[in-house]
Amino acid sequence: MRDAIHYEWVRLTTTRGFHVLTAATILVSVLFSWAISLMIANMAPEMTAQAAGEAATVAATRSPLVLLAAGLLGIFSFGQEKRYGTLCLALLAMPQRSALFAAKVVMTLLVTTTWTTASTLMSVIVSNAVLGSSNLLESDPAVLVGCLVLANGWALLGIGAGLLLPRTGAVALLVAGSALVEPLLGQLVETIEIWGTSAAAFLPFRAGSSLIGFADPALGAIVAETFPRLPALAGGGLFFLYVAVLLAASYRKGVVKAQ
Amino acid sequence: MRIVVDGVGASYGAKEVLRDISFALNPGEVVGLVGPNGHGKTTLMKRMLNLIPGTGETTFDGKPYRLLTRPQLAVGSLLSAEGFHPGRSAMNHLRMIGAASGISRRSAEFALDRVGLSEYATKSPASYSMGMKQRLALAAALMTEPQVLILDEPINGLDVDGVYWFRNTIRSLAGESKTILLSTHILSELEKLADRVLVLHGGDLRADCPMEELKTTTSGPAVTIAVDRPREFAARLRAEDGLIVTFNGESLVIDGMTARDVGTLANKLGFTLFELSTTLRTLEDGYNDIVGRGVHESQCRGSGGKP
Repeated sequence: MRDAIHYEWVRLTTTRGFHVLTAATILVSVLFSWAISLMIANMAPEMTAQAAGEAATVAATRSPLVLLAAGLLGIFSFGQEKRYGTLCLALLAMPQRSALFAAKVVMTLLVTTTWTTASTLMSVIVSNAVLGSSNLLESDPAVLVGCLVLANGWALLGIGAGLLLPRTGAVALLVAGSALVEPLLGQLVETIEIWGTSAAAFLPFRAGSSLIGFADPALGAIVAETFPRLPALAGGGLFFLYVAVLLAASYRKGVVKAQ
Repeated sequence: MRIVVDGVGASYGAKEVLRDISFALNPGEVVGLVGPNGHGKTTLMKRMLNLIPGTGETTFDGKPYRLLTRPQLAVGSLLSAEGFHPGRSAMNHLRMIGAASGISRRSAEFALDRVGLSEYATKSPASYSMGMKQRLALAAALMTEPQVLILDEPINGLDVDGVYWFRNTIRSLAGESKTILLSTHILSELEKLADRVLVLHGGDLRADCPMEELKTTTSGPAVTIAVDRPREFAARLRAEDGLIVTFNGESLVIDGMTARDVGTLANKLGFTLFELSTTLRTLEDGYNDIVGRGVHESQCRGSGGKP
């Protein structure tokens, strides 16, 4: 397993794309945080310290690239190897497919955690500075942790999609699925109620977004997130149920049936 | 390291591409794997290395590939020259492959130097010529100084110097008791390299013979003779002795007799001899007898090392 993790580390860090994605994730996250903070500051100039803290947290966790980068990292863990024919070399070096799968999961989660922590930390510093909330501890820890957990969920989703589908199909599933298909589907089923909540809240990406939900409804209008959400734990649990199903299917296809 | 392939089979969907293949490879042996395109050579190698599912088992000193600890240290393989990421340099490509086996950067540098690619170590293999990609794939296979080499068409794309280097390297490795299995379509090169030949055809192992036996497995050396009345002499040989006689211009090529016997017979029958020579059979002749002419079971099957 240690060898497999070493392989994954060298594989990741010896391509230019990895370093570009790392830099872009952090930079875009900081820029988003700054832009959203400015928008909030302009729209609601009179805020209490508590509201400013929550707003700063929201601003710091809205970069779409953090989640997308985690998903891409997951997809590329197998997708790049399949695309360029290096998976065969990896399996020759580590014929235990389950060990290779586990190493890819561990390394993807470690990198995602590092990326998300670094970009969120820098973003929250920027948003707190813009919104005049000097105390970082006023940021909502549940949302910050939720962002970290959600990014890791996207990374796992990417691994599953990357094993089940060709690389382009997997990217399309995450990008089009989250940004196009699910919002449209959400509008269609919004009026249907399940256990007193809109059915739209049970869709995978919506359920996952509960992890970075916020209490102040006024903020929702500012960041254009007015759709219904499940409570954080329920939504997060449901999102990870979807992730688990996809991962199990991909493990069966890529590991169990292949050997 | 002794390799035993026992009853190996594989299918792609409903199509069975390998059927019950069994043979053994011994240390110090260079064994050639030949057969037409699409008849199972690469599939057999992949199956031996546990890359595809199937029936039967291959063991390396008694252990299946998947149970070897750091298998690259024991078995070096080349299955394709095309497996690399275009954004990764050749040096980093080797470092990545070696990372799972604890191979140092120095070993990767040495391997690149060995195949003559040191100058291009920092370049992406995407910019390499076909021969350079092949050399890089060979560097990856040789990098760990393995006991076994499994090489799928390793000579493809190599220039004259490259082929010469490859031949010497393989012979030298065989001298160090390494076990080597290589497939190729260049039979003249294989003839210089291999001690034994496996012939795969239609997913079946048609022959497993020492090189010299395979060349003569269906017939001995051919005799070329030029006489004053060739058509008459050919007719006499066919009619009285039932020999296979073919024309090569005005000369006759006779299978199944020695030059001495043909000369004596021509003299006895009153033909004037202009030329008499023996043409040694090549691997290509033996291969064509088995594959091209549909000889279904070679006499020496298994004599080279059936498990």
